[in-house]
Amino acid sequence: MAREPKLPGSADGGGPDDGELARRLERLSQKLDDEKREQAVKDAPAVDTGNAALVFRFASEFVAGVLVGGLIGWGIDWALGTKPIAMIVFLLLGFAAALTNMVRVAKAAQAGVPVGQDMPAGDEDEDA
Amino acid sequence: MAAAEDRVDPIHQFHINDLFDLGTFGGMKFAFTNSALFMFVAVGLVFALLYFGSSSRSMVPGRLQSVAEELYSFIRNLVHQTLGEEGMAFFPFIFSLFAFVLFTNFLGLIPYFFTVTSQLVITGALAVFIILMVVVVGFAKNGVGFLSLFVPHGVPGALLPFISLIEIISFLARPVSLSLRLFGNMLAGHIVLKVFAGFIVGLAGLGIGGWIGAIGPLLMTVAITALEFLVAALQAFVFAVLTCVYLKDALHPHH
Repeated sequence: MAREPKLPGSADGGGPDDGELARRLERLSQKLDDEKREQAVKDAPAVDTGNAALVFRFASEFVAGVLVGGLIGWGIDWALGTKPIAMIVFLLLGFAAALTNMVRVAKAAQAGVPVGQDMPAGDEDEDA
Repeated sequence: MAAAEDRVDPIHQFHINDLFDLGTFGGMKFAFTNSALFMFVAVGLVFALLYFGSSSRSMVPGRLQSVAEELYSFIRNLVHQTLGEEGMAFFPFIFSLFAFVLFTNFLGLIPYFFTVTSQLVITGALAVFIILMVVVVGFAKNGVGFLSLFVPHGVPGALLPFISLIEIISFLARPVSLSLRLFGNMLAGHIVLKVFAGFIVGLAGLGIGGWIGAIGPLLMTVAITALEFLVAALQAFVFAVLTCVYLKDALHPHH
């Protein structure tokens, strides 16, 4: 922390008056707040994840969506005996879900949000 | 791996070996495997780091203490930033998760050591546990309101069932992508490393020309080892961050 400048009130022997003290306090708390904010920014787990992490993010998001969609469809087919229909439908839905996730990740990446802070479900309607 | 063999088998490192049998329970054979051993080693190391790191409690931390403190405050800040004050209840969980994944990842980088996180069972079990916790916490904190996670606002009524279905699938895809990413990163990295190292052995067997040719793969192996250290830390971090993000949805589904 920077040292306080010499105060006119304290220079002439007598103690600083209340107004001066209040101003000093305000200045100090202002500085403390600034410091705290800077510290918070510095403490943010800002890992430069680079593009490699993003690539893996896309790949896993895509694979997972299609996989889960296909599996759900396959399970419904297996349970109801509607052989290929549910699987086809849910594969397409899974594809859609995967794309939704990927668009979210891409949007967050463009906005400069670090990996992981992105993808709150159902947020893309706000800016659409 | 095996020095006796001429060809290097890049998959051999992922073999699960039974170290000793624990007997049979319900017709299933239970054994203490090398995977289990390294899980114990990782947990033991985390415990040792935190125990000895916090035992001196000096104002000016020593090496071990500052490592432990850095680890602690790093995850603490992460949880505090994504989940806020109420989310600090999940700090012990996320810290354990991060420490476990980080230490198993790093242990796997030591030659002849087994990489626990290169098994889909392990990462899948972690991810399923996380997502079940998200569901349980979500319903406990918000009741039926948790389901609003699947209903984005501003969607016309006719499209709502369709969109909700997609949202549900996208939610269910989370544990899959979470586990696949960690598993895929660790598996792929170790295989690539082993393949390049295998080239060195293969080329070195060809005589003087091969020795010169082996310089390329040798440099690649060194570079990939460095990259793997980055990936090991990064994936542990991503795993922890995504857990936080999913838990945030459980705490505040309407966002």
